[in-house]
Amino acid sequence: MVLSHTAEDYLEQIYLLSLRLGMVKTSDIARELGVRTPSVISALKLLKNRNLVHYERYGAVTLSEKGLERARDVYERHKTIYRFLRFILGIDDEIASEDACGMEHFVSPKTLAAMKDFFAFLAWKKSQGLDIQSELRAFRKRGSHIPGGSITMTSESPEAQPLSAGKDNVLYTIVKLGGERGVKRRLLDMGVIPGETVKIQNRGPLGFPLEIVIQGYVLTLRKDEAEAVTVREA
Amino acid sequence: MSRNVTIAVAGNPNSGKTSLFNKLTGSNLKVGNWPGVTVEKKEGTVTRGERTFTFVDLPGTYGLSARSIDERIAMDFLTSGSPDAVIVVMDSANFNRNFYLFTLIMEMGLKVIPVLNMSDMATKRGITLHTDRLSAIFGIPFLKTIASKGKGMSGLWRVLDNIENVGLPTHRPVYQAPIETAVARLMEAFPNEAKSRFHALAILDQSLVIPGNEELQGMVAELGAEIEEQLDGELDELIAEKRYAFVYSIAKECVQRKLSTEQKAAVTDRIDRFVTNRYLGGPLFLLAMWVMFFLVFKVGNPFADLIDAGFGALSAMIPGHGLVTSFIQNGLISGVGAILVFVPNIFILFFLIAVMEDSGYLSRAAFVADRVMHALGLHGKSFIPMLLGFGCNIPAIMAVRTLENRKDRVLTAMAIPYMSCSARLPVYLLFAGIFFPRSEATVVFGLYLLGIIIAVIVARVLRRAFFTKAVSPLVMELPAYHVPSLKMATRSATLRTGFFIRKAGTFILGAVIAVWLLASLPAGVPYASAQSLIGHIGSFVAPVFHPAGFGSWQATVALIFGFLAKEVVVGTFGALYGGQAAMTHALAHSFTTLSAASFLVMTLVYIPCVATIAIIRREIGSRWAALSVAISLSTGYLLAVVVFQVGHLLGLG
Repeated sequence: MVLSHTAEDYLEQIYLLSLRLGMVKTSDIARELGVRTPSVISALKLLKNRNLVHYERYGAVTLSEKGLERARDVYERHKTIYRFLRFILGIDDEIASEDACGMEHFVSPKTLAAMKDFFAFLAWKKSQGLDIQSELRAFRKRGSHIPGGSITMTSESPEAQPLSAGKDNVLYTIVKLGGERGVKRRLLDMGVIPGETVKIQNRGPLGFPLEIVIQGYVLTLRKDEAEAVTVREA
Repeated sequence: MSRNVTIAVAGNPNSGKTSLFNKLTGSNLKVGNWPGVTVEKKEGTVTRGERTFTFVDLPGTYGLSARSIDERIAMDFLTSGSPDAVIVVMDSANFNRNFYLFTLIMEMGLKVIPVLNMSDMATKRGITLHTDRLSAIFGIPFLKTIASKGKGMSGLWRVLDNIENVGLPTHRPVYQAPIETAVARLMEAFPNEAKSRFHALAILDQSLVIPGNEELQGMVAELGAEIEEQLDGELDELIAEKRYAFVYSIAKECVQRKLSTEQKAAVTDRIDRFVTNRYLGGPLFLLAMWVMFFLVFKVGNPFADLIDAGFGALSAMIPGHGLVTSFIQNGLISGVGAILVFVPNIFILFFLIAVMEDSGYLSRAAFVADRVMHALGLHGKSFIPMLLGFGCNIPAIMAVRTLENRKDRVLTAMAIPYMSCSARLPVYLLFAGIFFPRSEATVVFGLYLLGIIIAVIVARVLRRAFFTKAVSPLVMELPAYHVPSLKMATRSATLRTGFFIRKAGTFILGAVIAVWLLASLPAGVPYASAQSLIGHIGSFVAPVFHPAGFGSWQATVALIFGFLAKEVVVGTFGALYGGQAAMTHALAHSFTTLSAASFLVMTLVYIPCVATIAIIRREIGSRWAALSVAISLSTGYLLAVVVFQVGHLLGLG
């Protein structure tokens, strides 16, 4: 039978979900990939036959050692391509992410190595005082000089917002932390770090402070503390 | 290794560190303060065969930066207290955040004994920790314990007895290349400051700032800017992210979660559906506060009265009439009585606080109260101490220990004396009864309200004056509920009560004896009469109170005696005017309605009592105690003068 997504997609998704949730269920995968649970199950059966995942009926899905290696490899490729599209070419976040999802499966090792090489080149030039990346950004900002004018401008992702403006029981991904240094330090130490998922679970009698769930435990934040945490809907 | 071994005990708050420490040390405990700061330090010694272990309980922390007092103490002790090993107590059900602290301590290059505590809670929540895998990865023993039930302690002792055979951890986080390079360069150039990878990283992300070393600061600024440019991020975030990534990678291999997780964890959620509910949380909180107040004072006070009466009876049993008898009665016995009378309240209070803390309610109470308290310039956790102030300022000020942040502790302790304690009520009732017979309740209520207003103003002004940049965050964990240990609560209450008796006792006794001396000398004069030293002082100081409308020497002497305890003001008037009936008559003549009002304001505001000063001194330091005395005396005096003078101008006199 034909899979609606490649085996690599599944492996990558299981890997990411396991990082985020600690434990992965078939329904999580279905939701994340936008397919129906029966398709997930038949895909998992194939992966299991190839010794890439451990999976029992109604149980948790975990990656085998071999599967984990493959998943990490795919994700590594994804990140490199994404960074190249997003930060070098200045493609919008969403498109960069989507394209990376496609390209990650057939990109040749040589292209990938060249991309990494290019990052190293930029860093080296930067250390010599030549910031090619920001010149590139400036070049794009001048718009008219873009041949064909077909490149989308880099812009901050529109949904980024302070956690204090967040809705209850919605999952957010932390983008950035700000605020006073001591408070920021405390937040970082307690696991409030960029990339982590948070949810507002409850509020104090007058709307604040917030009760948020992070790293599997419950943390309180005042309004101004929540303002310093920039998030994006996950 | 030598025969004396020092072991530090570190861990997150709510990790069961205290139970583990108690189980390790038994009753051989020394409670004091860390040098220079009033943060509680607990130390216990245990002798096993040839060897004596000294266990030092570090403050519970989430990280180790120089930005909070507790963390600074822990970091300093780990850096320069040269412990032979560090037991890191971790809450098994909260692996990531707890393991992060373990990672920090490990990076200090110290010998660590990781203890995964509360493993029963973890099991209930469907979490399995593979200690064998952890041990294999790090090359050191990982232990599982349930300290509250004493389980796993023998295993811990086995490791402690063979501590010389425990090596250093063999696995550690690796950071991005530019950070690793910077760490290496710092450790090479500044081996005294960047003593370990941890120190180098802390210096780099500026959670540890070493003042005065400009060369180092210059290098840090340069390296930091370079890294942030290369890695396109902020250093503190980059380092924390990597550390957590390290923790995740360990958790992935060694922590297993079962499907049942959600159902079991729900017990806490279900309780919180009520306890921290937006609408029910407030009323439930007030109910809890009422119950606590009731238990501390309504249940505690009969015992306090019993102690009081007991000492009174004891005093009456002393035969004779001379100076010696008087010294024993009014100096020694009433001095010791003045200390012990607080014991019931303090004991019950700290028992309840331990129960609330242990069960997990204390942080919820702070969560519910914070919005209002924060608006007043205080912290959610200030509510309980402030409330207790209405009963008695002594246990109230001792309760500021529940506040994490020193600034909040100081501000709350400085504000509490204006909360009108129950000892002030007899004075209000006496004067209101004589001078405001028809509006007694209004006057008393007005005084309580005035006290609250002054407390809030004092807290705000002091915050402005001393802690301008102070932020005391409410970044607070709401731990899972669990059944509190009554044994531990009793132990905590006993320790705190003992601490009060030892530390505040001498001061209180000294003050009582000093007042006795003033009232009894020169030899032969009637106690506290106009001829005694205190009478002379009264006559000498009295004119000062003339602008406030109560310039009689008796009023001044009564106020001086009021230092011992406010209700003594009433007794002193009684003694000076010769009995209850005569006193009422004399007061009605020597005070006007207006001067009575100003006297009441003075009584409310000036130094609550000598025991309060003693405890402020103990909890936040002598200078704050002196400042508290100065503020309360001057504010009380000024307000009394204002009341009298403005009243006079308005023709109320």
